[in-house]
Amino acid sequence: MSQVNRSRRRAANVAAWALACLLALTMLAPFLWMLSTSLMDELEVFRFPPRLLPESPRWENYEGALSARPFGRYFLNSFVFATCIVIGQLFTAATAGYAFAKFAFTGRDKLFLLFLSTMMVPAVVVMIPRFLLIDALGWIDTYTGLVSTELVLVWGIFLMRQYFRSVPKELMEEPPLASRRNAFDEHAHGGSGHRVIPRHVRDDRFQVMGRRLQLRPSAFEAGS
Amino acid sequence: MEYLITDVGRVRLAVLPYDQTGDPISKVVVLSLLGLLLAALPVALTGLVDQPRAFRRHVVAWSFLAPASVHLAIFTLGPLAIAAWLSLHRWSLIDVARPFVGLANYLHVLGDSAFWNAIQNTVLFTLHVPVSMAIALALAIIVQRRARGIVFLRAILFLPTITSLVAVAMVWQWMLHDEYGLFNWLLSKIGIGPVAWLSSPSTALLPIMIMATWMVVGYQMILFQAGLAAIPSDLYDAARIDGANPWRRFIHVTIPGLRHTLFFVLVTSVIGSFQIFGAVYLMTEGGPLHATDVAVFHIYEEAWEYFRFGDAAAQSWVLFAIIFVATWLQFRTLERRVEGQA
Repeated sequence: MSQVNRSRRRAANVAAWALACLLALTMLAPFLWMLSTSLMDELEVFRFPPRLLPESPRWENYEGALSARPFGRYFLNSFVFATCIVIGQLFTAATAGYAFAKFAFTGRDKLFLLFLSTMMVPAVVVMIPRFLLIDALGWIDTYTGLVSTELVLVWGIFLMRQYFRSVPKELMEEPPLASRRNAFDEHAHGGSGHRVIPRHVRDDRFQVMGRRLQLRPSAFEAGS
Repeated sequence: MEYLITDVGRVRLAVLPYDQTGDPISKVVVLSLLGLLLAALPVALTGLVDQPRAFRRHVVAWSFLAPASVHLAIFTLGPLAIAAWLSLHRWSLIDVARPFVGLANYLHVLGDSAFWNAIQNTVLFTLHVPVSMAIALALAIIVQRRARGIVFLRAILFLPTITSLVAVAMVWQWMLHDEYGLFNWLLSKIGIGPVAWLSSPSTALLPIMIMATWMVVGYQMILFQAGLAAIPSDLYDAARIDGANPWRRFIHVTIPGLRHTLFFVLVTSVIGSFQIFGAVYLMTEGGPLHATDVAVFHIYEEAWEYFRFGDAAAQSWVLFAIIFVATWLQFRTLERRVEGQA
């Protein structure tokens, strides 16, 4: 019986792997082709039947492409932009998502729908008004102007809200949390009772939640 | 107002320098909206002063919400108010006269068959969302196991998400090319005649849907994976002890455990899919014969090809209404059920 089960499981494993590899190949194929054609000249790209590999790789394509424009500057701009908006969006999404998930306040669900509704308007619509606004603020052609409109991502707020909601409520309420601090210590430090995280950090419920999520996603059932 | 005269080809244009295009009314609209929002908050809070606990909770909640709310009010709601204002005008970049026309733009949009054709294409396109979600969930479950090389597979599946849409669209265009494309070459190997993927009105939407699925499964997979990781493994053990087979474990443990993630992915993917623009713009430009003309592309053309900003703004609001109703329905029908199971 167990032998049959094992061979069946092995067959299922092989099938899953074959499927996964096939999918990975379909995912990779366009990239491989992109790589291959990047080393061809124009005539070769449009040949039929298509060639999978270039006759003789033209590495100078890359040299030409990279020196055609000041890419160093472009990459720096992208880097500054990405750094700023990641910090900004993490902060605003975590705080707002937490409020929507864990606080009961008047008009919460309506406000959330209002937040969400800003996702539903196509970006082209706010393009001109935003430009006028940035111009009125004197931020045209500055990093401030580039970054300022992107510091909040409603998508991220929604994501955070959903994940905070999956955390059981009992865990966050005052009396159970106080009595379960020991449980948290045990989970976090292997039951040694040794306090590594300073008290003021643990006392901030928000941070405790964050750490729990990170350390032991499976620890939630401890309280339920 | 001073205009610059420029010749573009055979057309002579009177161009208004953009520092003079600022509409004083739009500033008033934005500022009054902001003022209204800021005034509403203290009013709402003072009503709660006699209930200290509720008052404290509201103040804490609002201090958490403040950064995102203030930003949204300034950089999104304000511009939206201006867009609403535009939709009531015949407003064009190149025409100085911008008369107030009331709801005429909306009436025009409602009777515009080309716009409804675009909406219909958008709805058809959105049908790829459940398919991609099913594939992504299957992938997430496969990729979740601990096995050698699994990290590599995960990275490969996520690759399309982090690649520039422009590069991806160009490669797909090549692969779908009627004469030189990879797909038709492969089909010819097994004796199937060339398919006019992107150049025939009857098929053109399908390759775009396939490409969209291809691009989005990796991202959905990552979200599902995060959700799967949060399902307590004890639940699976308990189900196993109760004699549940893998399918029943999937239905009774995995799906309920993933409900918040599933809901999130569904809502955001439908919203994103209703706003499909880049792929269409890069691959077909709405053609052939408007077969792939989708809502946002239609709005883009209206504004930037025909310079009818008033019409474009009105169309945007109609599209917004459609997406809003679709999202609201999902909240009404699905999130209640999600809550019921909690």
